Amino acid sequence: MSMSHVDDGQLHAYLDGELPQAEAWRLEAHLGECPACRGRLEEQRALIARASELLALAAPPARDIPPLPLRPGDTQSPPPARWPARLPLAWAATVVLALAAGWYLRGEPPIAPAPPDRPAVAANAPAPRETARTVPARQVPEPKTLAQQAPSAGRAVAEGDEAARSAKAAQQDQMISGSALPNPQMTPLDQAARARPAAAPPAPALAPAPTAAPAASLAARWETIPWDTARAILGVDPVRIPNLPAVAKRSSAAERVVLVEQQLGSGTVVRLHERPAAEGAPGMEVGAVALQRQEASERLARYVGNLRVEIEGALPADSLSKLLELVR
Amino acid sequence: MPEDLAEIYRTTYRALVRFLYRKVWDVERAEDLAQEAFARAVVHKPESARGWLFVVAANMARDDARRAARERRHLTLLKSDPTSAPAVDEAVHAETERSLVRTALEQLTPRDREVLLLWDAGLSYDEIATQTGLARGAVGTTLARARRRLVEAFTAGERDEHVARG
Repeated sequence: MSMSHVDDGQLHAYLDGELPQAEAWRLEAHLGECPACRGRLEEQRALIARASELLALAAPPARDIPPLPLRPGDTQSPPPARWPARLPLAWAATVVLALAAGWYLRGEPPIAPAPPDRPAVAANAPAPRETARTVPARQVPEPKTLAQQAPSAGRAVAEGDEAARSAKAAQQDQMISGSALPNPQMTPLDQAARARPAAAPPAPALAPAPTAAPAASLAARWETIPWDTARAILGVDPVRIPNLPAVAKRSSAAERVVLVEQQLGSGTVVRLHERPAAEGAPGMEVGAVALQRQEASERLARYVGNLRVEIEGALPADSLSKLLELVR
Repeated sequence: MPEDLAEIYRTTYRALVRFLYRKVWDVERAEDLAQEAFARAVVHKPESARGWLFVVAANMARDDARRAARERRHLTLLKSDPTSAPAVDEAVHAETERSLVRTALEQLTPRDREVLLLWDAGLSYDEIATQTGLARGAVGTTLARARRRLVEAFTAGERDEHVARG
């Protein structure tokens, strides 16, 4: 503090209650003998009030505080105090963005010919297409999961519990029929990723609830490849969100699929699945956007042209559209 | 520590939304970003969660603004979400004042604006100093200048508004 007068910064700190005690005493002592500074103090007090008033004009409307975000799918929202118990499931902040060009209308399955030592994969190869077209109508117990048939088949995205139940149903069905179809509620993409484990011992692959599987299964079955290899597979640069670190991976189950994994934030990973454009569906109506929204927006599936974008997680529609725009 | 975060959520969520709102000017977006910041805090368990949250939120808002700018440049195909449009039932007067404040805030230097918004969101001088890299003693000076410029810019904007209306 200057010997004679105080500066505005000190006055503001004083009025904000942020001036260290010793300085506050000195300031008060000075104010006691300096009418000019007392006048300034009042000016600054009025200025602070006016500034707060203006900022209040530009305040967002007060709305209810939602539950502490921990994992999607918890619409029963237990009290916030319970959150530590659910920490291990924090992975659910993960956004799985499955973007498969033409995947769903393809006549041929995306799975590469199986090596001779893996006959099960070959046996499974046609499964995604068949499953996608026929299974949902036939097997899914609750019709609401099928609401709004999208222009292409296979957008059987279901809310977690229903998916789990359907998984069981599918498992039973496949045991009966002998066709080792993976969970019909999974997308063909997931099926590709899970084809092998599902074929070997069906139970373990289907046992975990759908909410617990994606991160682990992707980590286990995708190998990192150089960008050159990814380009070679696709014929073009893989789709990715600009300005984010990205890693290209290849599925060991379906070698012509490239997965681009990008860290969106500390807790959020975006995964773009892409296969060669040449294998895309030619007849798909470009620009058709079908939205299937279920159970408080925890899962969303959208079609953008011949791309399928799948979101799992508590991602608001607004964020989804922004993500979609980025992908475009 | 975990209990702390739950407590911080209760006490800081609205402040964080308010802070973010003055950056993105969209309530839903501000809430999304605030939620995202907390979701990250749950995962990261930062030492001093409050300050950390505002740092993360500021970064997200900045990225968001860049992204929005890119989208405006490149993308028009996807219909914008109706929820991101300003509320139609908003009183015109309030909307005018809001936009005057917004315009005034945008005339501040980034540092002045940041300090002002952080203070208004409830951060202490110490927290603001830590977050902005300012010396603690400079926070008051910065706030004094920011407040003065905000009021001046708002007043000037108001005057122009009246002139424009005749």
